[in-house]
Amino acid sequence: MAANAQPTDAQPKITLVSSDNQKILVDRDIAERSVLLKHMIQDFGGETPDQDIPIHNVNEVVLKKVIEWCEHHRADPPATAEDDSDNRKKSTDIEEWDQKFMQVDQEMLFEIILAANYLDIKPLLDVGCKTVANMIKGKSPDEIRKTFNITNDFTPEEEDQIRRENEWAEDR
Amino acid sequence: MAPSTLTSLPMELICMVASHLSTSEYGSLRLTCKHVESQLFADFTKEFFTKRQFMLTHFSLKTLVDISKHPTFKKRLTHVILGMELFAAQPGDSTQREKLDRYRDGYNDQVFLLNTGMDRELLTEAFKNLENLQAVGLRDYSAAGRKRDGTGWHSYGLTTIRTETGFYLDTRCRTDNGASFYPRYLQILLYALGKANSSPRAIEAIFRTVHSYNMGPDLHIPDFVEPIIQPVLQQLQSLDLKVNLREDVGQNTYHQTYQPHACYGLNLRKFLGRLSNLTHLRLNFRPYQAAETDSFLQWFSRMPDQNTTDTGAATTTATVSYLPPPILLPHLRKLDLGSLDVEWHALCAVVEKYASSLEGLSLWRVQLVPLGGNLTGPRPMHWRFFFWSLAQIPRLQLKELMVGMVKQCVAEPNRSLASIHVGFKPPALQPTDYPNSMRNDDDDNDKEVPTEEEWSKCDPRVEYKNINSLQGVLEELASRLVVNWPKERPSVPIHVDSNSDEDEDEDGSQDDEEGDEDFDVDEDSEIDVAAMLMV
Repeated sequence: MAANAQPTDAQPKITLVSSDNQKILVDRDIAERSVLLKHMIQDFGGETPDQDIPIHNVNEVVLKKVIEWCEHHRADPPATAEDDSDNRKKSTDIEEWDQKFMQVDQEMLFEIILAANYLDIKPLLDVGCKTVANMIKGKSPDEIRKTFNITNDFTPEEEDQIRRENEWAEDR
Repeated sequence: MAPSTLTSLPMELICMVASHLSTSEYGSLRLTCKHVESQLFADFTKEFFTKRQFMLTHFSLKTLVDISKHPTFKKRLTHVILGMELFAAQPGDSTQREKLDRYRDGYNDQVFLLNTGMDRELLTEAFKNLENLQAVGLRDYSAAGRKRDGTGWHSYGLTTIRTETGFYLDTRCRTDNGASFYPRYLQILLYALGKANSSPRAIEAIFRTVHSYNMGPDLHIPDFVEPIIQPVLQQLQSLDLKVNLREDVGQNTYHQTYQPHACYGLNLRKFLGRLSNLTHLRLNFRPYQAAETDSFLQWFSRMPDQNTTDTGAATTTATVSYLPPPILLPHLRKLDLGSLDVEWHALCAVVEKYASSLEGLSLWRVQLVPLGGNLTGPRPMHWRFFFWSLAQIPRLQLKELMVGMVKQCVAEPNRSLASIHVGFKPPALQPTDYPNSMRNDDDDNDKEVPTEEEWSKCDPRVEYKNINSLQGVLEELASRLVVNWPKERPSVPIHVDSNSDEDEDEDGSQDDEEGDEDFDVDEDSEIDVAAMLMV
């Protein structure tokens, strides 16, 4: 994928400013992996904007991580609606590079997911959600709580009720 | 700011994570804490408690009742489907004694449930509780598309039975060993709805298995139950049925005593007469019943005030009075007819009768046949005649028109009848690409046999929506028409294609969670030269 990328020096650059006021220079095609940025750039009339673009919701560390993902996937074909429905079927399939990329601490993982959501980078958001889903798969409620440091605040009666609803939902 | 964790994700992202889980994992996630559960609840309710299928076992119906008592689900469950799975008296061989015993118990339990009417009691209780019931349905199959678990949307309880007994339940109504029952599902549903004072707007019976079930007797509504059921039927707006007209000749010996021609679909006729608020009618028939369909459609196309004279020469006055009078469905806006053989005039007459109210027409797996040896030329284009005739109907203002998987029947030189597929050329870019398509008498008989390439480009299904000029659409259809005349005849052996009994199915509506209600999937591959026999 990365092999197909255009030479970086031929690319117009865009300056992003993270929430902690750090400037990051990225190639335009990488910035455009984000649908949010793509639309912003389009709002500049298609010209590469020469002013800084503030990314209020994402700090430098996370933004750099997101850009790292975009750089690796810069040559991916745009996602289609069909891909989406496909994704759901083989839900846990994550390509190897992405799996490694997602081997970060939980806080970073959720920051990446939130950033991907904010920047509207659907494939990255998908990888993030799948990674979290894989952390849940096969676990009991208590194990899930331990994994994500969640405190059980249900009364036994409420738990019973939810268990009953779950049974009705299942393929029994 | 607190460090980001699972619970800090907004609702749509937690739901997105949950979309990758199986149902039981999804359930486990719901059990972690109140916050997560509340974030998932709307999504969970929509997926599992909007439309669900149950079956006639105590476990299944009791669960339906429990769901109907849930403060949220009682409002959200709008579509209840009854699966037609039944235990058999003789399940077959099994070496596992315990499983066999379980199956026997299941059979006896189901017989008890049905014989005592407990099934109807449970359904009534549920229908009373369900505040927004919009549709009830019958199905003899499990819809696919439960992607979460890689399974289908089975009737609730079916999977448990399979796990515990090792047997699959069949949806075929059987009468083996005399110890059997034959639930009349629609009657059970209607009676339960009536007792519950519930009036869903739609009833649909969708069957996939060939000859699985004869709907006819279900449509009989006895006088003594009319006060209970009639209010349900009175408010019904949408009906989707599959009928076998040949078997639906009434409970007694009408067809022996009188002309069968007069009373094909007798129960159906009476039933339709009760549906004065119907706006959408979908009827799937059975192929190869041209005479029966003709009898029914002649009745259906008659206006109530017209004289009922053509009930057959041998019929007596007494018979006529027994036969249901013609009806008018004054609000009928959408008519879908599927799996039938019909002569095009009869079809046209139905459309003409409802011309002033009809906005949508779908014809699915319809074969136009020549009746009574009425063959117009060596290669008549029946569908073209039909489209032309529709264009002639005054007041007809269809907004939607769908024609799919249609055929026509022609007489071969050896007097046998051949069934030939009809397709549609891709639409022309310019109207002038179809010179002289209309009203050109020389064009009535299309001598052109399409090449394989031409035929492969043809579409077996055409659909027009938001029609402005119906005339224009019908003109276009008539000119796009291609009949796949056989290249070499008549060496093709004639066989009855009994396997092609797929109905016009639900229109995969957008809100359908199951995503399985495909109208025409797998149909395209099925273009074969099926010959047919006529009655």
